[in-house]
Amino acid sequence: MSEWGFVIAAYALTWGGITGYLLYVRARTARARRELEAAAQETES
Amino acid sequence: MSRPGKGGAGAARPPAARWLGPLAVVSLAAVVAAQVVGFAVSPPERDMGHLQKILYVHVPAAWCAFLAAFVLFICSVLYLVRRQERYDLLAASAAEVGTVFTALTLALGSIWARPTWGVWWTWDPRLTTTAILMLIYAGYLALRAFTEDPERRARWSAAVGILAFLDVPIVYLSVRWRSIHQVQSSPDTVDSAYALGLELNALAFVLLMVYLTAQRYHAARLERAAEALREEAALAPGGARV
Repeated sequence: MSEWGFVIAAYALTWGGITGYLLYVRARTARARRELEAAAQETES
Repeated sequence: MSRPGKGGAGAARPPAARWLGPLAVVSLAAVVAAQVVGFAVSPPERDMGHLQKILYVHVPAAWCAFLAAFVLFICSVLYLVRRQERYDLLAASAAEVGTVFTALTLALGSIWARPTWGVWWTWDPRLTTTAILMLIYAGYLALRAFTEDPERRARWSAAVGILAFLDVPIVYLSVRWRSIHQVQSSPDTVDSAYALGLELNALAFVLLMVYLTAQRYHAARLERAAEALREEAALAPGGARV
């Protein structure tokens, strides 16, 4: 693999990994928010 | 099962984290600026050529792994002293983010090492102690996943969190023990042509780390609040269906 091949692989891994984790955290936040809304409605009813 | 300590996040609805949005925008701007300078603009280095660009992401990732371990340590100690759930949740958030950055540090180091040292991996003191840090982070997350009682989970994981940070000075000093890894890099020790790329990437990575930890902590607080409301509904008259 060429010098640039290693560089591109490193940057792809970095930003792919960080973006993947970011999407996971945001999805988890959205799910938790939905669960909280549902629980709040259950408590009120 | 008992709640870990007083002042639990589930006691009230967590406030909306309005500052998370602006922090995300600032982090993104810093990341874009850092990539322009680090990836696109910085010149090739005399010995490493363009491979030096890998260090713009490898070194800040390592700093963030250490910083996350420091947050984990502080929150673990605070939890053991004050027994407040928010410290446990923040420690767990920092540990998760620290795991991501430690894994990146090892993987990026490996990608840099192959063309530079000729090997993907060697049992060098720096590499080995960083791998140990990764194992402690993984152990911390596994412990949390497999311990059901929240109070016990918080106490035990606080102990592991403190242990994780004890490895950080060992990792830092390990380059002095017959290591082939170069000594610590910082903007002061590299040529000015490369310092800006390193500084900008360090700033972008730290902002990202803070944002990811805060976002993960916010999710954890929402989860706890939902759990607390469900428990409340179950305890209410006629609420046994939950």
